[in-house]
Amino acid sequence: MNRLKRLGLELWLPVLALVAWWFASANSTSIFFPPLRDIAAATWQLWPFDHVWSDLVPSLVNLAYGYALAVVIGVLGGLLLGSMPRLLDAIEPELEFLRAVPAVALLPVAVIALGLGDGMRVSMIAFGAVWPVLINTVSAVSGIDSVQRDVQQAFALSLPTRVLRVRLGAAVPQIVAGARVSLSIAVVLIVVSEMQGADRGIGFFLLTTQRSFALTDMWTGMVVLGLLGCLLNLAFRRVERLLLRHYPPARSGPTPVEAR
Amino acid sequence: MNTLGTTEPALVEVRGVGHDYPQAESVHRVLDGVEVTANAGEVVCIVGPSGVGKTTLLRIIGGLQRPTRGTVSIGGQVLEGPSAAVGLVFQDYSRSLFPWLSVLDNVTLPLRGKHSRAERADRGRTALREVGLLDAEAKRPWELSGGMQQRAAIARALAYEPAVLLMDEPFASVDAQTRAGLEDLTLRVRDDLGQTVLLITHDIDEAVYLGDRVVVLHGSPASVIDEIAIPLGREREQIATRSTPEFAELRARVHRLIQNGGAPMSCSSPVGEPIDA
Repeated sequence: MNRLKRLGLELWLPVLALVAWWFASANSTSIFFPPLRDIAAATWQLWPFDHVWSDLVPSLVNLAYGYALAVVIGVLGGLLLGSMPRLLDAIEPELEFLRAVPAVALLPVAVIALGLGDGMRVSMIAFGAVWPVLINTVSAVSGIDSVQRDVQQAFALSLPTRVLRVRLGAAVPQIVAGARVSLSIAVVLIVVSEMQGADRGIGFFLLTTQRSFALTDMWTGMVVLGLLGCLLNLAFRRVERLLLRHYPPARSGPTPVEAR
Repeated sequence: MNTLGTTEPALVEVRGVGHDYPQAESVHRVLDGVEVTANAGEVVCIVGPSGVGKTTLLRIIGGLQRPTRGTVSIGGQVLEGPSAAVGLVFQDYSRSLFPWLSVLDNVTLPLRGKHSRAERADRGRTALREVGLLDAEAKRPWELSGGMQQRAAIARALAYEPAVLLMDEPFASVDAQTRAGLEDLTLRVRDDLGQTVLLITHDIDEAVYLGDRVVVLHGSPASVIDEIAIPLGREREQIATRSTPEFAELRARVHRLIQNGGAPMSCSSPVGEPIDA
């Protein structure tokens, strides 16, 4: 019953919006805004499973590689920089500069430097999505509680123990919060990166259908992207709950506030 | 790293320790010429009003801070940093335990990289049994009550098998019932394992109840103004010990020392309220 209530609370607005869209567009003759009925029918016709295999899966593979790279580099780099305040001070301006560059703006450079292959796309995603994880990890590691620092020192904890058990442990809630932001950045970048020189992928699909005025088909691409976003978010929440199950409830919020 | 066994006599010697904190144009002298010793198996309580520099002294004995002057030696070795012969119990258990690790992992964390997995688990469980927390080994600290968390912190120090148990206001954040239980636990651990206990507190009652000796810090900069032997025997009992006339007398003596800083008595001071809360 409670579950049902929650589900209702979460779904009333999307359902209402879909119903409103359905009826408002039902008699539409505009080629730009086809009836939702047509979009739904086209989605069903195009995606399972022709375009799922030809476009969605390649996009997801790139997304997985790029996102995994971003998280791994972000966490490792964050542990390193957070543990070495001197090094952080020395390269912080450069980091801020790189972070301020929108990853999308690097697309032309990336195409020239890395070519038009999947390597370029994976690199773009990794570059754009690494920052939230990196910065959250740095802030969590360098902001470790002073008593916890004393404990590390007083019991002469070994370096691997300090890094893996204490610093990484302390940083997990903030890493997860950063990884959530990174995931949405990664989805944006996969679409954008496929709009240049790709021969498959969901971004490629959107661009080619738009250019050939197959606008109903183009809309199906957006439906699929929307669904993908929802599913990724659901999957992320599962992983988050798993990772944070050992943390006190107060600290498992999306943005843990330091006590001091 | 040199690990002293629990059976080896450990002598803590604090010799002429002074500490200054730099300020804008001068230095703030916190401690000067502090002398404290603790013999093997002894419980020594260091009392003083809050702000007197007790925590600074504890950090120096724990090797977390270098003294500006003087030396601390443990088992004849002058401290250069944290010693494997010292197990620390911090005041704030909610911050000193790692919430993401189970109780057993917290207790065995200091043994990682130094002992095999089997030995770590063995020592961890022995320590947890000693503090009566064996059933909670798989729980997270934040799932336990405050008293249980502090027992876990004591178990962590015990699993380290230190010769000296160094405790910083260890029972200041728990309620009175729990506090009495933890005090008796500390005495029992000393009897079972023969540890030397160095306990810092602002609570005069607690110092007299637990201590074989009470060391009184006073002044600015603070130094040891007196040391009082507590001849109440090794067996202490919360109600019986605290209601003896000797206890009341010792308690009053410590109280006057803290209030008057060892100066000659000008008038009799009221006895019975703690001087700081």
